[in-house]
Amino acid sequence: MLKNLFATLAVTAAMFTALPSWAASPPNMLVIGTNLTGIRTLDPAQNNARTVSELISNLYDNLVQLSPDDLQTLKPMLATEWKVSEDGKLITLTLRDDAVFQSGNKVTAEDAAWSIQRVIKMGQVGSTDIALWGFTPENVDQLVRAKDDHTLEIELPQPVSSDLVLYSLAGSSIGIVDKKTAMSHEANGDFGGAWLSANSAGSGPFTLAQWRPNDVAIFNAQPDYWGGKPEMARVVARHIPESGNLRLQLEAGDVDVGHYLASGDLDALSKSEDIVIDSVPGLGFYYVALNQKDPDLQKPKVREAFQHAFDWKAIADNIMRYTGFPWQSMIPRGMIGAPTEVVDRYNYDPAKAKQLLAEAGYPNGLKKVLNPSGAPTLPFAEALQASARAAGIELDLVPGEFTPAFRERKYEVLLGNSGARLPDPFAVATQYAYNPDNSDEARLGSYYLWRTAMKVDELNGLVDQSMKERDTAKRTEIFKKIDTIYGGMNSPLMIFFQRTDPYVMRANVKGYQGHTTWSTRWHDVTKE
Amino acid sequence: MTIPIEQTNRSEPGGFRQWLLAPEPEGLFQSSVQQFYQGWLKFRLHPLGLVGLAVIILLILVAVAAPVLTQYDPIVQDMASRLAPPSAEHWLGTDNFGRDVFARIIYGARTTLYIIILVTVIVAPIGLLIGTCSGYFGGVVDEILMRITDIFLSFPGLVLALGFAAALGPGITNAIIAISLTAWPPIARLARAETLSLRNADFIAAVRLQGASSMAIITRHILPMCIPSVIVRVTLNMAGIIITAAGLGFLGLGAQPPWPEWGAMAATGREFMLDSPWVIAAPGIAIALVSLAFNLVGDALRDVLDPRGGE
Amino acid sequence: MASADLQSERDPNRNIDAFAAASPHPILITLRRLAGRVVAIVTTLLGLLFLTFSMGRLLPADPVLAITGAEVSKEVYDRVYRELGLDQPIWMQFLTYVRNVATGDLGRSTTTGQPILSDLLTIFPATIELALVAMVVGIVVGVPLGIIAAVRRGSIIDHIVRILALAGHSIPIFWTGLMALFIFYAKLRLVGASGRIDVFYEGLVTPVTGFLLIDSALQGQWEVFRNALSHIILPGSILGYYSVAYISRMSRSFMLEQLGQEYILTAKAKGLGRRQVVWRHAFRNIRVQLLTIMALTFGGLLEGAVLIETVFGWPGLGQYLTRGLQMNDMNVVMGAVLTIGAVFLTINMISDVLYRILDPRTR
Repeated sequence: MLKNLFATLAVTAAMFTALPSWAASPPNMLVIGTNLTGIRTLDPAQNNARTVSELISNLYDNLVQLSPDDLQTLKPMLATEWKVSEDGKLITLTLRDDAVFQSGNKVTAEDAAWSIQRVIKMGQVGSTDIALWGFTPENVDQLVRAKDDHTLEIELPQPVSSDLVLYSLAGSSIGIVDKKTAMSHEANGDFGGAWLSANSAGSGPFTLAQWRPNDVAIFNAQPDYWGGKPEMARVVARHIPESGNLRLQLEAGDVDVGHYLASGDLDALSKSEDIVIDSVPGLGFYYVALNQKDPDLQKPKVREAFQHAFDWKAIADNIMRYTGFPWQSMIPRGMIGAPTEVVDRYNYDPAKAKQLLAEAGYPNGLKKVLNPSGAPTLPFAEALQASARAAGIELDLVPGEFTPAFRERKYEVLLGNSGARLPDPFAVATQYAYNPDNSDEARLGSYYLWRTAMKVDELNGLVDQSMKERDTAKRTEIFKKIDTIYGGMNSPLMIFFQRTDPYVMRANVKGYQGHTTWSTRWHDVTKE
Repeated sequence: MTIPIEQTNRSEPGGFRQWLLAPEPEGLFQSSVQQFYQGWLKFRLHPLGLVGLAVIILLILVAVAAPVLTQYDPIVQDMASRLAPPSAEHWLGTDNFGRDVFARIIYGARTTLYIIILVTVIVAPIGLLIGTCSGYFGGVVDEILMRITDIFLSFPGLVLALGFAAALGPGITNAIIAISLTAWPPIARLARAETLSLRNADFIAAVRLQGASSMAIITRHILPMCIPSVIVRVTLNMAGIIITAAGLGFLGLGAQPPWPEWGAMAATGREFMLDSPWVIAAPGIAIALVSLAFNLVGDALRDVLDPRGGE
Repeated sequence: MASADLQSERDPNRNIDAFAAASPHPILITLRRLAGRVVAIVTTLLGLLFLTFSMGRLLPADPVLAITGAEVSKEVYDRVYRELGLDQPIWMQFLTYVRNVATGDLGRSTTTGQPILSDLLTIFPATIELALVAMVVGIVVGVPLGIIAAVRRGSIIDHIVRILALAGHSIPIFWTGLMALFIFYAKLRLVGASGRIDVFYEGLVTPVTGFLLIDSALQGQWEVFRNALSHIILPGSILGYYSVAYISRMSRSFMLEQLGQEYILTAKAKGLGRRQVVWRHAFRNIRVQLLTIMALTFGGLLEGAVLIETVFGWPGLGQYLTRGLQMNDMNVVMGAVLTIGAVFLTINMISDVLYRILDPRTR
């Protein structure tokens, strides 16, 4: 077989003696190898996932921003300053006057107000964060308004910690869109959504040059950017779903930055001198979810048995080495109210798990279907399956894409990972501890606790409080309390690892900083 | 099988060998055994075919004796010794969960055999029934059945299997169903052709005159006659079935974890290919070997059955 | 490949015979043949559509949620449910599907948000280009090998060709692809990586035909051409190898048949050189057969492309299909399977027709 391969290659090599030139990526061009699967549109209002957030963050400016190394301090962007009224109900932002959209239009407060209204009115995933504060399509036109060309007023419909609101303005979904340009392409009242899915109309340092779904996104520098001309003339985000391929291209210098590499390849790359791996902590967890609509899993003892059925320590140093660290508290590390050190809530103890199952009425063990949320969590699920077997839980592992089923509460046991953009425990708390209406009709798919079909009124109350409370010390106490309750209730959402996102870079790339809230900006990236 | 067996006395003078070579067989059973024996005498002359046969027998033996051949459990994980290179302890190294690759290959032979057997069991009767009915009744029945067959043939096998495997959901049973959906048409074609040649044979006419129903004629008289050639045909397709199954496994539509399936093993091995090539090399070679064995046997069979010697 | 076996099962004369069993007048015969042909094509197409339709209905994805997203109120859900015609009886749904396909409406992809048809139009050239390169490899290598094997029947060369061909039917293509990637890209650095082209050549060539090699050559972008070539050469060769297996076997068999013919013996008796006998006389007579075989091979290449594209990250139909499968994107699966089936069918018909027109024996 090889012989023939050589033969065919010899024939072709004879025809074209000059084989490829091994050119590394040019010095003024940044090549990012990533996974573009599932990105349907580059409209800020219609996205909240990781990769697309990064792309959008470089096309559109936000009013305020958070730098990657300090997630607590808001920094100016399109807004140069902001102030909050005494009663905390009105935020007034002053916009800079030198910012221009790529169309040449000036960035005005009207554009900013419209962009926020648009997100709320469209009601797509992009509104996840900002809708929490009580904005609705009916009230948003009154509450978010341009006072003059450079003054934006945001009035809060309910008392909310103003920091939270400002954080949400830094999220990529609230990128400021050129109203005139977008509306000139409006069709069927879509606020220009269809057009914006493949075109850009922002004031960011880059403009969209080409977009082919599932293949490539090409960005050109905006030389007149108010923050100065970016060093990189062009940035290319290429869809390279195969981790092995991506690794080889990183090693060869064809690709400068890689996302989503598999653990084996990360291990190998970590040994190379030309490569830097930056594991950026994320605001989410790897969890095991037990559907409470299932009569067996409803029993607290069964849930408790699951806590002791997973040998998570065995995978901490290999499979999870770059994608997460052991963390079993509901408050992400380093945030207010988080434990100061690792808590081992769930130790692996198959004998105890067996005994708990027996007490719950399953002396011969339990059989359930286990789904990973998607392909990346499959190895994790295989490890869970193997250790659960020893604990008397037979998990029938059915691989595939199960996030939609999870949102529909159509699963038994699911293993997934979550993420959030709002750098405050409140964001995680809404996902993991909040469920105001447990009915099927409520379709509260964005709350994970609803997805597991559990409702805890005490937690709901505390999460609401944490949103409204303005005093940091008090909020810290609230989050500690939430975490304590959560740890003691045999939660159907068992947190095992906190997420980290490994960003792999060639050593000559400087200034590319993976961002916890996924809004990595390329403006300051240089290559040596 | 429903072959009408006429008892023969095997211990008559001359013994079994003479019975096998008797110039005038005393009935259908003896004649088919004789035919088979004649075939074997010719098949023997193909060294490559014999090699293939040996590999297939080895596959069966390995699958049956798997627990004896290795001390390792193919599914129990041992994270401490993950991705260990081949050694005296782990002959083919370990995979990303520290499982012995050799053990998984050995147990994977069971999966392969399971797929082959089930597909055969599903496909042969369906193909036979459709083919014989089509050939026997002719006319509109034939037209409709053959049109359906054509439709299935107008897809590349893997693509059709892929579509249905995905539609039915991952899992080995569904993969088998999907493969079967693509594997029956050639059988039906063959059975139809055989039936056409038998339909007007004297003995069929005789049975018909005795008032036998169509169904009885098909199941008792025509179907059994088609079985030998169908078996040969299935053998010829076996390599294709194995390759399709491996392809499905590779795309994650075959056996579910943790059960070892060669295609799926190759798929996981791909992540570790650059540093631990044994994880992917072993299952690939296993698939190629077994599939090649079936191809070699099929090739020899073709020579045996087609004395013109072209292909 | 499995399809190679299936193809040899196909009997091009069957469709006609059933309709033209006993016809009196020559014109009537022709008319009936034509009618039979049309009926055959239409029913097969309908069958094709039915298969893809049932695949789509079996997929565990909720077509409503695919459009609306998971956060949807009951009212919207019900409205979309009705709009999609899911409250209709199943045969009505099938008719709607047939009508939509007939007007080129294959639905929208839930993962790219684009209409399937426009997706298919952008990616299809990539697959065709790959298959064509494979085809060239298959012909350039396969035909001479098969003929040499036939001429030197029983020799070492014959055995080698035989083993190579059998290996081609036996080694899983995805595995060959991965191993080749490992050797020629990772270790030897001889060829380009995954995809059609290196990132920094992206956008230099304006798509005209969609075939990168042709477009870049036409526009004089030789750097791009070379880069594209270095990307296509490996997947193209591997895919080509699998057609070499089939083509060499078939050409050997055709050649053997010719070499046994009377006229060859006569030619030999007249003292013509072996080379002349083989290429001047025998080869001329198998050209038509080879042509039909090549058409059939092309269909088989589409099947191999599904796996090879996944391995090489080739942005073509195969990768589109497998991603659709993984993401439960129903419309993508239906659209891609239908396209492959339709192409396969067309190629088979073309090869049928070619055979009829060109082969002196059927004329």
